[in-house]
Amino acid sequence: MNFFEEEIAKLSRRVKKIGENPIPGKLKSNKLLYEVELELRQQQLEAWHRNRPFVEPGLFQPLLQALGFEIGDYIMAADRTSHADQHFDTVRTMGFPDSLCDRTIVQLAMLNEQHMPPPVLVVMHNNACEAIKLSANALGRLSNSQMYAVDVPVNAEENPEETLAYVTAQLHELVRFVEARFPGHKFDEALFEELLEADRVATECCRAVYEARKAVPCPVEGRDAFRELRLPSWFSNWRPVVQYFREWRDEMVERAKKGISSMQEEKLRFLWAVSGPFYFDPFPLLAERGVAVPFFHYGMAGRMWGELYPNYGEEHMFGRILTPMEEMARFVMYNSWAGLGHRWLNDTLRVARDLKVNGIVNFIQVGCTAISGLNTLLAENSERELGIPTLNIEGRMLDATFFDQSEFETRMDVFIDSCLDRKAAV
Amino acid sequence: MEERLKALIQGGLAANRAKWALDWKAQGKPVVGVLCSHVPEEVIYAAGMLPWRVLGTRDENVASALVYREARSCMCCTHVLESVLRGDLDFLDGAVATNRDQDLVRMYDVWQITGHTPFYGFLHVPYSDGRLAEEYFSREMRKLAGVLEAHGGAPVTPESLCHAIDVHNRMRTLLRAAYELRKRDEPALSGAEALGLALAATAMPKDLFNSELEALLPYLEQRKTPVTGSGPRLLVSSELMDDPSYLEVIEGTGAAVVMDDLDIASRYFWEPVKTDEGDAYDALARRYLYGPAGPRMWWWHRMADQVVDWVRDFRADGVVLMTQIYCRPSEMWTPFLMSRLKEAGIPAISTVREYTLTNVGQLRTRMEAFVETLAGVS
Ligand code: SF4
Repeated sequence: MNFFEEEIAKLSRRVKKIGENPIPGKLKSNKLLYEVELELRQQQLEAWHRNRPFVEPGLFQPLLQALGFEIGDYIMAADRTSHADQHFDTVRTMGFPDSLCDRTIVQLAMLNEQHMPPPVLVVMHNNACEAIKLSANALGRLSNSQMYAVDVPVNAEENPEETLAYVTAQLHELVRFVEARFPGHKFDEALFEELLEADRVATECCRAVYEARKAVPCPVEGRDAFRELRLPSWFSNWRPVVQYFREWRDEMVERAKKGISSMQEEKLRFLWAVSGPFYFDPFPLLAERGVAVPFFHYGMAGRMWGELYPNYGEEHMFGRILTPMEEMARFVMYNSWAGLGHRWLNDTLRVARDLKVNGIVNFIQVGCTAISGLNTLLAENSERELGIPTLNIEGRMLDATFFDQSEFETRMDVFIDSCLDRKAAV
Repeated sequence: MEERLKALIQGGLAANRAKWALDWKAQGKPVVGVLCSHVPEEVIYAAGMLPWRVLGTRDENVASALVYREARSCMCCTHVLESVLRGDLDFLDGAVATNRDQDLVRMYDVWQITGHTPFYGFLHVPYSDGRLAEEYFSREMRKLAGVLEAHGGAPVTPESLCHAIDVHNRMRTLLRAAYELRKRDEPALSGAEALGLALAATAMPKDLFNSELEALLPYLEQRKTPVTGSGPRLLVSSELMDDPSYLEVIEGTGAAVVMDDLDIASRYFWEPVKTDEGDAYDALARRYLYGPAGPRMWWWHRMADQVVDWVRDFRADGVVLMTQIYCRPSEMWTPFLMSRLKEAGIPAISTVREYTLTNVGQLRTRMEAFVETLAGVS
């Protein structure tokens, strides 16, 4: 089975189960979420069978969908694979380094093993990390696709207007590039704007949910906080996805208002950062000890969840309404990982302060180029500026062979104990 | 003359580089640490400062740096940070970094945050090509001039910048002339000597380097390196390889390293700045983007073609890829380069190395085996 077929099987089971036997206390909106994801995978599988053109879109899903491509979510597919061991073997056979961040190399193996369709276009970007940029380059080479590189300045804060103009001009050039090289692909501006609007509504919902996360006891379960966000423009049928975001928001806000939580007593709350083990659920262990994890902080979180950077249509950053293409450019200017180090450090502390957490679990993904070198600084700064500790814990998101569960649990226990002691002392 | 050549080569080695910076400072002039081959040294020179390429400590103990850096990250950056934290680079008046890769950015973050140097400059170097990238990079260079001027540098005028370009182009021409002499059946320089020469250019005041190499060129024209054996001719490709002893190990097997694809050697000087192309900053931007580039850039196909061209020009029998462990751009493009070389019918071997020379025995064994294979082929 290829990746889409496996996802279809998995999601079909979930949809069936949740329909027949909903678990009390779980979010009702999950049903719609599974349904839209199932539809996405079915539609992607069909598109592959019909030889439709897939694109690795970088972070420009609305633009690439409006240019007539099927959105291939290669990296996020890697996050969900159930064949990590096999893929790592393939990675080694292909000559790629197995010590680089898991998802970025596993996507190459998945392509090689035909778990995913080859893209006809790869839009590279440097707006998250070196690993994603390099891996996109390799993806393009392996699939013999057309390639376009979008360059986003690392030091965007120094001159936002210049950066905005520079990135916007590249996106216009990308449109011309596609129209010149892919006959029949014409930029559908109305669709582009519609997709941006869908994403705007979704991220507005995310903001409301972010506010709800501040409630004590925490209305969000750790596993849900850890869930990867997929905006509507990543789906070819995006309208029900917008509906999902609305239902989910309503549920979360209501839970916060009514004080509904799966936790009896919230003793502590942690911010979880960077990554985590996808083959092991650490959250029950935390919940058992009364630790809530209201938020997962990663590179795009500050923009997608809207708590740090402006949403589409907001004027305050540039003092004017931006054009749709400028909005697309602004979207990628503020990945917390993609700047100089102080961006990630400051953004992480801002979220930690905002959510009033007692500690940060900084899951250092092996081979993560974005945070390598910032972890000690993060621990020092969280202590100095917020008076809270950071647990720097190294691990891999997909390679389970790297993981020592008992050591992980011991370190987590010790960290929880020390945070409880600190709280008691205050 | 041989002694003079040796002295010039020695001047570039890690142990001897600080001397040039300290001499310069003794004249009351500032020294700026350069952290990447995409930093336009001409702008620093035009500001009356010495552009001095920073290398990492040769000490294998990098415990201070590992407090901040992950073990599985670029070892060159870790060794540079170790030098910074130990105070070995306290003589620098400023440091200029780029986003060559994210590892360098993160090393620069720690350097800057721990505050060991009076001033810092940072240039965003696009990894894309085309007019937009060139224009953006040109503006970054202008901003760098402003940073240098604000920290005690002389005003960077069109005249001073043009002069700086001339001096640096002269350095490039001279080094390239020296490299041309490696095309001969009996190369004038060994691979290790050639790397030493290029390293000297990255540490010495350029005028002094130029006058030394200019004086030595007639001697080089009739010289045959005593180091190189009669075995196969090789091209060595790597990033951040600033230790000629790696090449000595290869040449110790009887092979001749006749060309390199190194950011700190051939790629550092290969292409001149084309001053006939209008504005000086624009010309610099094009030179430092394209000329020739490394795997951080997106156009891997052109880089691989460059290697193939060099193999043919220098009549190399094979290629040795020496990827520095955890240098992510190199690691990721290695499979692509290997397949391109295979396609071109060029024998190649891919090896992984540390920053400083270790595991000599293992490296020698692999090289001997490769050299034997090549001897069997030729
Ligand atoms: S974990 Fe780090 S290296 Fe991996 S994709 Fe995320 S930011 Fe990039």
